Amino acid sequence: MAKNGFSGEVLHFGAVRYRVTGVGNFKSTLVSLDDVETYDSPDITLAAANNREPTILANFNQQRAYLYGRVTSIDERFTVSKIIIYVRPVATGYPD
Amino acid sequence: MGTIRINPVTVNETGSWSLLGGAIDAPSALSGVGGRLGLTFPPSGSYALDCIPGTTILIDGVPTLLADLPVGFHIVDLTLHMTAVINSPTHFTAFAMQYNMSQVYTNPNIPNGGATAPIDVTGLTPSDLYGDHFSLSLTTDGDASATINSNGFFITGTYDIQNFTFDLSLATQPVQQGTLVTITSDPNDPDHMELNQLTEIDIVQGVDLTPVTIVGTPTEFEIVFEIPDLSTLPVPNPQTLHFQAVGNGVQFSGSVPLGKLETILFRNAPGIYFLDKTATSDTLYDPDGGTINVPIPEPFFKTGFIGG
Repeated sequence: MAKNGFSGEVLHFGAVRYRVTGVGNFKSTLVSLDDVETYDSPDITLAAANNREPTILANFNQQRAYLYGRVTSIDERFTVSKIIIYVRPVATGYPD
Repeated sequence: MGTIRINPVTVNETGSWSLLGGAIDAPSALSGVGGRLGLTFPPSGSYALDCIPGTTILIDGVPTLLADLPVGFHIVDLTLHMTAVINSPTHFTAFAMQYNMSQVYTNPNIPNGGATAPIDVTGLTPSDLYGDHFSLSLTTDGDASATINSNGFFITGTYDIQNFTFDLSLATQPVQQGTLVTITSDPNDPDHMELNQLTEIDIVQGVDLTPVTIVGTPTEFEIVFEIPDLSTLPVPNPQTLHFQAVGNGVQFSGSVPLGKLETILFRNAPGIYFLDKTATSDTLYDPDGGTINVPIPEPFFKTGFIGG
């Protein structure tokens, strides 16, 4: 690990598990540094009550990424109470 | 049409009679421009009548402050009364008064401690109150300690209210520091404001008046002034500037409101914002016509960066 805490490892973002309820279609996207690359995961159909925590797959290799969740249609809403992002390092870094 | 009476006026002077300072406020109180009624005392020196505290301007018998003169206040005629010009002369042997080089009063035998007969100088115009239109000639017995105590000055007259037309226009708004504002009068309108008769244009903020800078030489039909640094006004950076013009007493006395200019213009300030729960955007009704859709942000979240 580098001294500044940034190792530069390339990570594979493989899945995201939500605890989410609401109304509508919940969309989530993984976004790289500076929004250069994005990966749209499958939508989650929301329900007001749900006994399952859906896991949606992803396939996104980046050093760093953030998760962007949203609903886009009128009268849609959501409540997120838990997010688990599954990540695994796949390379020590990009070639110099 | 109404009546005006200005009650000063006490002038108490001592010392060398040849150069007397003093105070009488009729002219400047009437004109509001600081004009002075000059009385020239021979053999040398000049004697200016000036404002004194406590002078009363009576408009139709009602005491009125100079700042409260009616808009468009205009003097029709004036009479200067000197009912007791010299109360207690000492060593004076003769007295004469001239108005515009014409002798209006003379008394070769002033009794010490006596008073002159009433003098009325009629037919004055406001412009007579500027400059040295009056002069007093006094003759002494040669005693250099001669003193004069004069009082009994007051001015009566009639006035009317005049309305003038003008146009305060701008190429662009809002105005800001350095913006040149042009006021014009219509030459074909007999009631047009004579803009070269303005002595001052003020920004009015309550009782605070801030004169603006006149650019160039005003003509009868056009005057240009510059918007000052708005941050230095008594009420800094106002959204609206109110202006007044001050007349020199020829066309009108006192001040006349000119109007207002905006320093900030809000886009669609009078527009109606309509909330529509059936749409993903609200609707702004443009006063210029049509509508503008204002999108409502979608619900969303963004996590921090993961990895590294």
